[in-house]
Amino acid sequence: MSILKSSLLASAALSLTCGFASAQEVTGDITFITHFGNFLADGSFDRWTEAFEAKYPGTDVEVIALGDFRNEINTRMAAQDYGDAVNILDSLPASELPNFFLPLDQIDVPADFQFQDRYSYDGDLYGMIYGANAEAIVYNRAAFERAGITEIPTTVTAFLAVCEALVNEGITPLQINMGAGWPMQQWDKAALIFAEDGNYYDSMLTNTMPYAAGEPYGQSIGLVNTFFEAGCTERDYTADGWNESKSLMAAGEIGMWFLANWSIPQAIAAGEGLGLENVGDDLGMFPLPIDESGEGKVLVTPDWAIGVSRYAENPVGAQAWIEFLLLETDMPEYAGFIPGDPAKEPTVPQLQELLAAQPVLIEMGTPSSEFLSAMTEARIDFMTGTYIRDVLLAEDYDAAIEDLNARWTRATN
Amino acid sequence: MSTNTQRRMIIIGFLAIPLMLLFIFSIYPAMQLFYFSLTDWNGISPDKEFVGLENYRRLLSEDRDVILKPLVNFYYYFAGAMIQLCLATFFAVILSRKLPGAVMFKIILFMPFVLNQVAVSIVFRDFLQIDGGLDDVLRFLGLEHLIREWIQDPLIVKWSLVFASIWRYLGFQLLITYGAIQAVPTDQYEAARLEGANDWQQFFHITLPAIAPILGLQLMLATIGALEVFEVPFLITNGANGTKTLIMVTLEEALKFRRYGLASAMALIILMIVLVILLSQRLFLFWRARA
Repeated sequence: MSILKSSLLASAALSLTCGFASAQEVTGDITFITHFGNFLADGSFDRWTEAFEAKYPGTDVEVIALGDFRNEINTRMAAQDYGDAVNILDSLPASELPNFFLPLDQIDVPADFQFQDRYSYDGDLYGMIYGANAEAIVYNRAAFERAGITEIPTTVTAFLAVCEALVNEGITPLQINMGAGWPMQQWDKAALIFAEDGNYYDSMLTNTMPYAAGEPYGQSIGLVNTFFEAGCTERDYTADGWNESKSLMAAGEIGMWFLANWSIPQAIAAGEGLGLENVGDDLGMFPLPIDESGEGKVLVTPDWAIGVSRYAENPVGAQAWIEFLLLETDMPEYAGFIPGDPAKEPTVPQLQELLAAQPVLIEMGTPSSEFLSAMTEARIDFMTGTYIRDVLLAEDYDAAIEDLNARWTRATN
Repeated sequence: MSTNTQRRMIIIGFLAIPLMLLFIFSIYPAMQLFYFSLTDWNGISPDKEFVGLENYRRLLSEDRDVILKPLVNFYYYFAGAMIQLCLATFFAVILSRKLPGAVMFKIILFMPFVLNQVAVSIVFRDFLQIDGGLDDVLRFLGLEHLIREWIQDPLIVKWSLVFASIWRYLGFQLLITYGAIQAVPTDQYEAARLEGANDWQQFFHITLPAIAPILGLQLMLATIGALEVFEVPFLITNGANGTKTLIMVTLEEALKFRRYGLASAMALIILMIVLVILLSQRLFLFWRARA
């Protein structure tokens, strides 16, 4: 009797030390729903699932990639059919997390894993991020050289001069991907850079005119409008040309875009698809110039997080998969992220270039549920970008901004 | 079993399946839609609160711009539908003249309707883009000066989309009108020709009165179609440049802002608009028939 008891204790102790709690066996089918269609196409997921299945025999991971994740997942969530491990819809307020996801209680999460607060509620952790992103200008060095640009612009005036030089060379200076819609959400994020405050969104609740010219949000949309009006941006601004623009960036037909580091591996992959070599050497990053001060500011944002569906058929397997994918494979680095686990280093040279100049780093906070519901109330599709596109395309920019302010005022009253 | 029971059983047997399908796929969802429109459901949450007619009140008072703004696009599509109706009648009359190659023309005009909607819209997206197919054709014909920014120019974009939708639905209307013309007895034309009526007179006094009821029906279908335009603007511009239609804002309300309750109310309001338009058209046609 006592022998049995002590061996049980021993195995319990063992399970505590070896990371994933082996109290329940990891086995069976695991369905993983993600937005990373590109890693399914290039075979990377095969590599990671095979390694996982080798570590835990008897498991079988099926990866489903949704093309338009943000919209398609809604339907699946309404039908309570969203796999075992799945990206957490980032518009869900933390208080809603327990309604849709299970706590990640089996995973040995490194204490300083980034953005844990954002996905915690009531002391439980519900999601772990794929990685963090640095939001800045990605540029093509070869295109800059062709246009005779030798210095990286640090002020808006210098940036506009760079645009002009690129236009003269027949290069699209700044691809804002307005037709695709979602890349316009960058200007929601740029407001935080103007405010130099990752938690600026919450202070907006007491501001009745956040889109006015002097306010961070007004400045952010004003800046992209300046670029648009100056002819800095692409000509085709209605059709979704995102996939095409990746190739154009790799080939140096596009000078810059304002996106995060995750876009770099995608541009490189698109370039390799065209038969280009050493695309990575051509690409670099610098902070978005927002004024005339020349001070570099970079926003650090969390990417999608993975959680375990509340309706998961294999919650234990799903947790083992999340832990394996994020902590044991090269997935976060391979995707070009700053890994959530600080023990891992970003391998992207462009990130190293960006951070070498020691810009001010602004960590994006969690928008509160009050803020998100005010956005919805005002019919502003926060972080999907289309309302910013509509403002730029409006016949009367000032009237469109006034309309935004009026809607916000009404929503927050 | 008496003949009567057998008869009844057969009737019930034949009715059961179609009625069941109708109930599951039409009536039940419609009832659900109405129920959702009285709640504040967000589309995923397990609980929803009953709010009565609050959603309707909002849409008719403070949020009425949501419906009124896209309604502007309806006028364009409605104008397009009228052009389409004239073109369809025109081609139908010509094709019913037994011209050489009439069958081939009929196939060419009808083809777009058979093609996959999504594929057609994507083809048009590339066709109308800057340096797209249309610009190439114009350049080939030496008409460079006519090149415009077909989708980017806010004054042109709506007509570009209307053009795409005319191209697609013309064949369908053509076929119906053509069928109606075929049903006109030929002896009337012969008699008219003997009396010395020219082609225009034949059309206005024989063909047009004969196909008027069908044209009335087509007008109704075209009006409903103009109100419920979706895939053409959705795939070509995705609502940019002021091309959002009623259906698009409804979907946006449901999926983007996750207000299924409000979106359901919007869907029902669109249904109401359709009913009002249909009713007034019917009354108008009825009044004309009597006059």
